[in-house]
Amino acid sequence: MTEDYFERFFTGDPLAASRLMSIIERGGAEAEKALDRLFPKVGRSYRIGITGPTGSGKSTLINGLILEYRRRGITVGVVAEDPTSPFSGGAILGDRIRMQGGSGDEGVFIRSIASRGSETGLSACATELADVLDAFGKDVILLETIGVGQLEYKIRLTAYTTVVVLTPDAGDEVQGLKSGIMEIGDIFVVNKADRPDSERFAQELASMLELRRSEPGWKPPVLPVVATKGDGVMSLMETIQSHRAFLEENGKLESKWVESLKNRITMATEEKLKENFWENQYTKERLDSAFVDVKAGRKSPYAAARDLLSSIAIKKSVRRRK
Amino acid sequence: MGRLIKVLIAKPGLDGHDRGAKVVANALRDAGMEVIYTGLHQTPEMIVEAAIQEDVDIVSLSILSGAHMTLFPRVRELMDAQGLEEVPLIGGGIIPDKDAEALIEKGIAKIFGPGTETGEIVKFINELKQGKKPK
Repeated sequence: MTEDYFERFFTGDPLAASRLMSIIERGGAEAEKALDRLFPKVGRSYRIGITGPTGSGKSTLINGLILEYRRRGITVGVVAEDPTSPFSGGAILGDRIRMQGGSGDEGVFIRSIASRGSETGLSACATELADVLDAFGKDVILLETIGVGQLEYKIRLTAYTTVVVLTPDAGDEVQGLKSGIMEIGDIFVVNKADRPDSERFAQELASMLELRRSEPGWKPPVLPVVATKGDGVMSLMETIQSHRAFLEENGKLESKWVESLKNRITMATEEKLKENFWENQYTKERLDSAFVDVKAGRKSPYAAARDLLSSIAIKKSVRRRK
Repeated sequence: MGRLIKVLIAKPGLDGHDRGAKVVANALRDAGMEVIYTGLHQTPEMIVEAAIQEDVDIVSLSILSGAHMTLFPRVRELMDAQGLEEVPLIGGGIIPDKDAEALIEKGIAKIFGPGTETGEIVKFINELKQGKKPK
């Protein structure tokens, strides 16, 4: 069945792309097999992160960007993340409500995803869904994080350009935001710029950004936008293009990609180490006996952990010698 | 990581009342499902496109405008034509019993009339999913 999806995927069938995304969302061996197959085609899209507090207008802004890119014949993929309810595990994913600009257009593919307990603003799975859209041939991929405020740094591991969306009424919040979100943006958008006080807010924001240590050669611009009317969206798109050009000229585009790949290898390896380690029956037995020692006060938890790890190391070297 | 039941809830056509759709969306979320809500004024084409891109397990329409006899079969036809034959289509709204029967004959899996308890919808979807082989 999966094989059939691949054939159709490479001929541009959106349903096949969508089904492959579901396989990846389910995780496990099937998901890895799918990613193995896709990866030779991954790495061609330009990935843009859109982040900011809840209600700042990220989805509406993405809708505007979709229209701008499509006007230029550039194809767009969107991965939009919304929070999972910690109470039921369910979720209402409503980002599509504001992203109707791409409907009926084959050059646009939008996929919603629930955060499922990932509190970093962007789940690992969102990155993998972006990989699918990348291999599917989308020129630009927009990744929308959940609006949690300060924990969205992971977006930087995936996106080349990170856009932070704020609103004038976030005035006092900026003080609180400065430690987290202020550091991750390459471009800052003051959305709802037709509201009173927006100019003053933009100035405050710009002066706070002065204090930030930024990449040499790129001073994060502050752009006024009214996403609901489309005002300023073209200028945002052009600024994203300038940032891309800046990265390309300095060889930073390449190094960001390399960095993100290294990070993914490390994370995948750690994940596997953990899985293999605890699934091992021998480890489980050792853990039980270590627990008895710790409980009786003969060992500290740290000594027990060292013993557990060393027993595995010994076992592996013995196996290698055979 | 497993995958939860994913439901698309859409409001086709011209009516502007989505309180019912939102109540159902919240109930399904509370039952541990992932609900894609696409909002008002959706054309059948937009609904099927969203169902494809989101790879949902079930599509649910809410119609209060009286256009159910046109819109439900149209969405079903488009779904069948675009590879979603196996995805059930359900719906609710102000739909007379006689019409509901006719719609079920046209391949709509279930119609929930006014006054339906949300628990009934949750139960129906869960049973539908259990009886169906996973995609």
